[in-house]
Amino acid sequence: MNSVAMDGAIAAAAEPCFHCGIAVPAGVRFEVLFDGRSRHLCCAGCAAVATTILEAGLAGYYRDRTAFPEGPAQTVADSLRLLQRYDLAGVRERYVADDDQDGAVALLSLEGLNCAACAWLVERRLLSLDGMREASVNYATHRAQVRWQRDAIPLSDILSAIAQVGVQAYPADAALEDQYRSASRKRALWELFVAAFAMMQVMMYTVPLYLADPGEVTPDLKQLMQWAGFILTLPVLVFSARPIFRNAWHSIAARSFGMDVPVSLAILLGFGASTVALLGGGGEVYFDSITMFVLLLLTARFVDSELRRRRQRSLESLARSLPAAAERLTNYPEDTCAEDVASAALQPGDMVRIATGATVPADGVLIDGVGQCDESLLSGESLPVPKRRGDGVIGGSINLGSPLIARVTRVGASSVMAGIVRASEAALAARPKLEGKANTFAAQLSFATVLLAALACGAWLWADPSRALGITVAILAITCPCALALAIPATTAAAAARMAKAGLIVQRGRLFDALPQVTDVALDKTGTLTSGNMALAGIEAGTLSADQALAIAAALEIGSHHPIARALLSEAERRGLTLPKATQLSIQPDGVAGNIAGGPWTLGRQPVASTGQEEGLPRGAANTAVLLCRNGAPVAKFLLQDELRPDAADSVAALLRRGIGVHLLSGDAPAPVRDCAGQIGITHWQAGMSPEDKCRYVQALQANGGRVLAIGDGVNDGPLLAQANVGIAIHGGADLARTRADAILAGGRLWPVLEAIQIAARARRTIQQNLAWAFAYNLVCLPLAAAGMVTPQFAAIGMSASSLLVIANAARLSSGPR
Amino acid sequence: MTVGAVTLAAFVTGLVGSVHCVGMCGGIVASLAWQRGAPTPSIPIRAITATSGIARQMAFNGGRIVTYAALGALAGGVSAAGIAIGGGYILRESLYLAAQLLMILLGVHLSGLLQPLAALERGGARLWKKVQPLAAQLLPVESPPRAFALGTLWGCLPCGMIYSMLLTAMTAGSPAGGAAVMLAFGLGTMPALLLLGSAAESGAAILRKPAVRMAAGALIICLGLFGLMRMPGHDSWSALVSLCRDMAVFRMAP
Repeated sequence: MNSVAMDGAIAAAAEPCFHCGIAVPAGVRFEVLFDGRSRHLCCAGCAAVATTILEAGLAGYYRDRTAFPEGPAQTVADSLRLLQRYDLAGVRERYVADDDQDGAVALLSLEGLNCAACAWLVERRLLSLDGMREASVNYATHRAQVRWQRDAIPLSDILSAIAQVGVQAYPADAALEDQYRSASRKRALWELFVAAFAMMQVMMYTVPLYLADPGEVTPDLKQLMQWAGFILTLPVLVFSARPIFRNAWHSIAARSFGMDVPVSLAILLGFGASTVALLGGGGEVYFDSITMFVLLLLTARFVDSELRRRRQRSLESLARSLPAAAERLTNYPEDTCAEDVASAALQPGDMVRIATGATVPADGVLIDGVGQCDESLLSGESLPVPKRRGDGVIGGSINLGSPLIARVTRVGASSVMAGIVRASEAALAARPKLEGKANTFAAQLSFATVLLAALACGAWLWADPSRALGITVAILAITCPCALALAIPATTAAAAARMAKAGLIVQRGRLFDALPQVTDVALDKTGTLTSGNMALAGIEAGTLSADQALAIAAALEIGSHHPIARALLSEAERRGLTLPKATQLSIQPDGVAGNIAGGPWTLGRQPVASTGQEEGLPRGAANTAVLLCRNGAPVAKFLLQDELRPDAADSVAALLRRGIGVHLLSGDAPAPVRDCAGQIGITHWQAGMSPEDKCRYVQALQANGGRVLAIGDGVNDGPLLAQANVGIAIHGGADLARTRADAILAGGRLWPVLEAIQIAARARRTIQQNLAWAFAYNLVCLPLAAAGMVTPQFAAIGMSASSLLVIANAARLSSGPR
Repeated sequence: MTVGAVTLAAFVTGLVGSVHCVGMCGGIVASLAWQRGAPTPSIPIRAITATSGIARQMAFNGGRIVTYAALGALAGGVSAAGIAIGGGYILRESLYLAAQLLMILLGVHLSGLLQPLAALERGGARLWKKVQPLAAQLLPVESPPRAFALGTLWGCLPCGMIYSMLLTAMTAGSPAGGAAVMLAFGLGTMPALLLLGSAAESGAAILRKPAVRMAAGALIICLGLFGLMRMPGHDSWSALVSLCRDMAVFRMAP
């Protein structure tokens, strides 16, 4: 665009308009200032637009456009480029975690997921990608969990594959999702409000027509009222009913008959025929039925989504406990000046300071400071966990002691918090097998309904044409497969939430199918029945006092993380002993050694397994003796016990009372296992089992028709949990990402298993009730509607009442006695 | 001339004349939605697909048409008032004549040969100066309701086509008729703006070719001439038919 030759006619004639590109006519003088130069425009309109754009501060519009204006193809190319930023190394770590095999796992948020059919479509699209291992879309939370072969697919490919289906995907971000969710909730409320308002108005205009005696209402008054009904129904159709139509359209596009299809047909048919009747003059007008129908539909769905939202909030409270900001030490250890950064900006290797009472911003290793952390939110440990130099701290736990300085080790998707969020996510998405069958059946029922409606329409057109339309609409409206399709998801969601409240986080749907039918329970010992902590049971000291011996032993164990060391140290701390200084500490095969006050001391474990007998050790669940020796001569003996979980005995007793066989399978030596079994009351126990032995044992039980529930450590007992019908892992903290169990015990207690069995049994009963009701309802109402005994109004009420009944029945699970 | 025929003519004018509008009003909404004053964040949170602009486009154009209809109603109301006061037959006739003449001028304007309506547009620009701050507040356009609001203001852009159509709307003689005429005109502009506004550059480039604009202008001139020929008192179609028949008879007569 040259502004040099300003010679009026000639130059201006050749110049294209700065805004629209058309040649500026000769003699026309419209100008605008852009980038310091005067630009010519072809007409007052372009001048007005250009001025508006520039004064709105959008000069970028002119700067950035390469053509007049962008086409769709260019927009898509741009968006792909934006997506590829997610593949950059530093960014990827934030959102993608690596699992224990060669896979990668990520949690994605989905936007524009309008119906269950879309969810299925997204899943199908994802699974069609090479290298994709698992893809599960949770329609309730609008999230997708994907697991794929590491390096086989870049994250941007996954996101754009989803975009091809018409759904926006981005790595899960709680704040954004909040925004999106509240926006869609607001929209849903508006739709509901419009429908309710319109329905009341339409009712006001229709009821007089019903109540009036024939001939009492003059034709033009009647027409006026019907027109009013028409105008008031329009917003309902165009705005409130939009989600219903969209869902129906998407389900047809996905080649499946969603349950919104008959409903949409009913609405459109009713509205269309009523409009025709209105314009043509004559015939029934159904605006009141349509508005009521839409209102009831929206209400049922809103109630359902509200229930889901509440459940989701409680399960998601974890994810919100990470602090937004952290103190990063820039120059440690030279000085301790700190800067405030966003927790999201922390990288592995950063040094952070955690003040007293503050929440730890990321997983890390303690570099300086001694204190205690409250990890109850994450590991279920109700007691604060002491932390020393070298201990790990978990992002999300609370620092109860003095300020700590830690080095960040894991951020983003591989952190413990993210693992727990994923576990909660899986809990919400868990679906029993039965649900798939019910959905298929619901689709078939929708199809059958439409078919039947068409047949009935034909039949009635032949028999009595005036009633044909009303009956068709009634059939389409009354037979609702939604009760069928809602029966199971609503119930399992409520059951999962109840179990989570009790302390068991569901991961896989097969739990709901198998748990009520469990006949045998297989338990591991260490870590399952016992809490994995050791406690000092007794001190046998000779020449020294018990406290002195303990102080020396603790001094030798300073800095160690061994369970024995912890037990000694915490007992010494409890007794308030001052520890002597130990030098030349070294780790021995069976213990530790060091110099205290000039003399060499050793503290070693007395191997119990080799002698095979307990030398004066008290009976206990798991016994270890540690000998304190000076110069090789034993001076004191410490007896340590593996503590049983407090509710272990009660839980086992309750299981036995239910008629479920309990088996203790352990790899430990026979003596501790026998003691443990005796203390708890288990008659079937086996010691010295390898993981394969345990699997074989379970297989034997299953061969005899038993259904086995296995409880163990999620990582080491992986095969055992997989072999059993239901596998429950005791949550041990940092290994959550690797757990493939069907459920996770979050609180370090065994009692939730009992509760879960009861809840699952109740859920099963509820599902059966709901299914029975849905079946019976549809079976009875279809013939009635086809026979013409149901008015469209009643059809609408009946259908919604049926859905609400199913949802209410499921909601009962969330509360109430077991 | 019946209101139906005038409406039809308005629709056709919109269709043909929209070649003029594409550059100015076409893809603006989709493009403006992209632009921000601030630099884009380094990690984009959402990717925008091609279809997300459609709703905004529809809303924008809807707002535009609503403004046209409102202006048309105003024009029709003014002329109805004038006729009721006592202008009567003569006012109607002269309005009609003026409308057709303006239509011819519009055709000339669109063809690009001359700019007879430039003065009108400059007058309209003064009106736009008042509207502009409101429009500036609505930019950038992020949601369909905003696009709709912007569209209603956009309808006040100084545009010779609108002014000549408004005069035609006045000939309808009633607010409803006036609104119907402008509505038809707006609907006529829709296809071009929706289809070509946000399409690839090549599509819009066709419309900038002088030949296309010349053809469009010529068509509008013909419409105006037609209108002139069908003075009130004759039914439009029958006049046309009899005209054609007369010409045919004239041709075929030995």
